[in-house]
Amino acid sequence: MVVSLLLAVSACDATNLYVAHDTVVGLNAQVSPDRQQGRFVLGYDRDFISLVPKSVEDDEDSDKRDVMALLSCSELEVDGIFLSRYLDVLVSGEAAIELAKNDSVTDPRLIFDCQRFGSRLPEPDPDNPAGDGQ
Amino acid sequence: MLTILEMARTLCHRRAPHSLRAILILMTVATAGCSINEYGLVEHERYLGEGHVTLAVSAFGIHLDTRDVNPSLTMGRYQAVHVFPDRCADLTDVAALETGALFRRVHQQISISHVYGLQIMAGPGESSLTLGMREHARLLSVDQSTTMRRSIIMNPSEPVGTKLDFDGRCLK
Repeated sequence: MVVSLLLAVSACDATNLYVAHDTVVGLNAQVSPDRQQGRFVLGYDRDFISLVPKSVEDDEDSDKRDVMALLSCSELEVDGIFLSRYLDVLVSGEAAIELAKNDSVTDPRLIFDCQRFGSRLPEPDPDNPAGDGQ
Repeated sequence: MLTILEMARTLCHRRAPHSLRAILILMTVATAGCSINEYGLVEHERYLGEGHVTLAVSAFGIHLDTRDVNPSLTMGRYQAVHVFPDRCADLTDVAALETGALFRRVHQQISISHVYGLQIMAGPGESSLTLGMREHARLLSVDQSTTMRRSIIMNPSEPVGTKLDFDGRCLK
């Protein structure tokens, strides 16, 4: 029997960009500011979590808030219960803004192409570039 | 030594409570080895690959690791793989650093640990208690203001095959 209880322990926004994978067989109790939650597992549980800060300080005006600039794709494979392969491609902050401003590129898939880095996901549908989970 | 054997015999006696027998078994297993960071009965392997320095840590028994962002105490089996970029915007030759300095100075890009037994972890990123088996993969943890480019492919069981392309600051 699996008993999993998730408890929200904080109402604060995440301040870190955080990606993690967790597999537990047995007992695990944890509190994690990165995950923004507490967690209690008795039995078996596996999760993949990706937390992106909702807002960040504006570089030019500290009173303003802005969304975090991020281009990212992640791919995770498991063999049984263990992680067997992980791939990610990400660009964050000023580098992501500069990349998105590139006017010479009209197709978004050419700005950020996960296939080029070894993704095993199928080629994206030209009519629906975001439809493959990237 | 005789006293320890007598105590063990008493505890293993059928009349001894189950909890005491369990503690004895756990302690026997745990005291088979003892290690702190890179000292003691712990094995470290360093791999220099495409864009990365990877450190594989393996320990039996009691292992105290204070180098990671979340220090941990493990009784049982501890395995971990830490991937560091081999160059950063603020440090050109990460591979030249000795193991302790690597953890102290450079942000790991990925840390994957396997624990079998009992683990207590306490740090700014996580406080936890595990009894049993846990695979924990911290695949990315960066501050919201970080500017970086990264691409990585890795198989935890074959750290040498990891490919990392990193462009950003990585000093702590």
